[in-house]
Amino acid sequence: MELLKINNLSCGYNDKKVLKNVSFSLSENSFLGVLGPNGSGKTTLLRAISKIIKPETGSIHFQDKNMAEISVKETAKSIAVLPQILEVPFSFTVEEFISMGRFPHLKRFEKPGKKDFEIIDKVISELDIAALRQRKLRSLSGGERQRVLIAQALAQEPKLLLLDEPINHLDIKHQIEIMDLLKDLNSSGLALIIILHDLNLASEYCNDLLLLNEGRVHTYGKAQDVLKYEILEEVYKTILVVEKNPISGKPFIMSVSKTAREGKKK
Amino acid sequence: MKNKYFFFLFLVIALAASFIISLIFGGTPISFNELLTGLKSSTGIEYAIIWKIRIPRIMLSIFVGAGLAVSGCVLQGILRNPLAEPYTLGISGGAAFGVTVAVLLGIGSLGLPLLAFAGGLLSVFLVYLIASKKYFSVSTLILGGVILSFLFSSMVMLIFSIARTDKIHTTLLWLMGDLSGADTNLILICGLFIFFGILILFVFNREIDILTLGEEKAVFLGIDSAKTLKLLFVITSLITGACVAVSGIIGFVGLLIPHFIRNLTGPKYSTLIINSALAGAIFLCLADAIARTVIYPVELPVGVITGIAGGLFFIFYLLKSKEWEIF
Repeated sequence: MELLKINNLSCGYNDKKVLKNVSFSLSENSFLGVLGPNGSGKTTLLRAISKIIKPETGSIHFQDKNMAEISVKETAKSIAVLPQILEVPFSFTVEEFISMGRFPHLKRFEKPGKKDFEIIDKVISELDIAALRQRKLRSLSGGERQRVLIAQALAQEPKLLLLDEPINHLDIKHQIEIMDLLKDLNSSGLALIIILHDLNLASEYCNDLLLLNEGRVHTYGKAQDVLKYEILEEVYKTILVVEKNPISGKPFIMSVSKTAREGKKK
Repeated sequence: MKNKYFFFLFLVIALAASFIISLIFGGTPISFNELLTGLKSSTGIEYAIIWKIRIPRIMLSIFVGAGLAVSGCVLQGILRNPLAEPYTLGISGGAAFGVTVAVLLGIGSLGLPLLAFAGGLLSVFLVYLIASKKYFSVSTLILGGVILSFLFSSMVMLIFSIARTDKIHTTLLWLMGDLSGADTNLILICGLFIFFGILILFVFNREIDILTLGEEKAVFLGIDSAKTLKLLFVITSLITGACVAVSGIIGFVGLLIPHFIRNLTGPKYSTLIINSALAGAIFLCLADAIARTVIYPVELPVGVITGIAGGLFFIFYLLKSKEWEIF
């Protein structure tokens, strides 16, 4: 069954239209990477799926239901989102922070019960953050923090997780750790849409890629169909060389500096 | 977890103690025996002092202290700004304007709190309109509040510059915070207002926790941010408006009590709201006892005491505590 179906979606802010006639669909255990230059509408797409902005035209269906008719609280039971930036002004502990993920499942006067605590425990052990449980959120390192943010999202028990550049500020070891973690979550049945700037990590981990350019879908397909030098050079307007990763066989993108480009011409 | 209950119990006992201290000290000191006779009797001087003057006033200080502290702690959360306080969104400027007009027109006892309340709400209503006109969000609210505060304060200054000195003095005293004037029925109404306001805010404690992560993340976690913000904004405004109407502008309680409590028992609003209410009540009850006694028979404006006592206490606390988090 299709989990998410976006049909002819156009939306934006005030007069500025950012997304134009975007259509694609997602099956139940997709791992979709969203690529594109700055300003191509990647984050806007995530904000439209998560009901922050309304579609101007077109529609978004989740499990065959029109999302315009589902409440924000109902949506949060099946879709979780990790924003690009999350500033937390007060010093919550990791456990308090993760517990907030149970909010959409609780009724107004309902206290978190046995089931909620079990889910929180399960998420904490799954993400291997038991040692951080009583730490203050703001005392964590970048990698630890990202795990905790994912844990909160998983406490929502989502079917779809949206991530906006979740590995931006991490070193390569922690980047790989988070991507491996996401891959494991995907294998156990969670659908993912992830915005990435790193084309090589996208190539290595994602099952499908969606390349956006100026608010439109440029190419949608498998890594080897999207990450071609003709396509990338047209969208990113820079010279790139595409080779094969010798171990995984996936496309590998290399950039070329100005000096090297000019040296070659001579 | 056990510590939290212990702290709550401690605050309840401290509030009871402050109540008794404030009953004995303040104005004409009375002995413990006189206090007991006064409490039991239904006539006589002791009766009048205790039941007609002191108890209503102590109740007022407790209501207002709790109201300001809770209003401040909720606004700090939903505005995600540790410097927010009950007056951030422009209520004090509007109320001051209302009072200045009341004094100028010579409107007496009941008119003054009513005009203060009306002025405060007018200001808040304008902030609400400005924010709704644009996208209703934290930044439009703060901006609207600052603009309106400035506008109304300037109008108060305008009136000051052309009014007679004795009228200015009455208004100035009110601006510094004054718990002496209120009528007993008004105190009861205001108390009910504040009590139910705090109750509603408490019901929303989980939403406030999540709103501190930002409006967008709150939507991701299942909260209709704009709608919830509007509701919480209206409730905190009504609480603050009620406090200001009966007691003038008492600073400090709403800003620092929440910080103090947050530092002691953590940022979760389920505990923060209740503990702030108790601590705010204790603080203002004691501050008012000091204001009544320190240069008896002249009374100081209670806002002066909250400012000086609170300021000194917090400097001391800041230097003593190892880990101080402003946020």
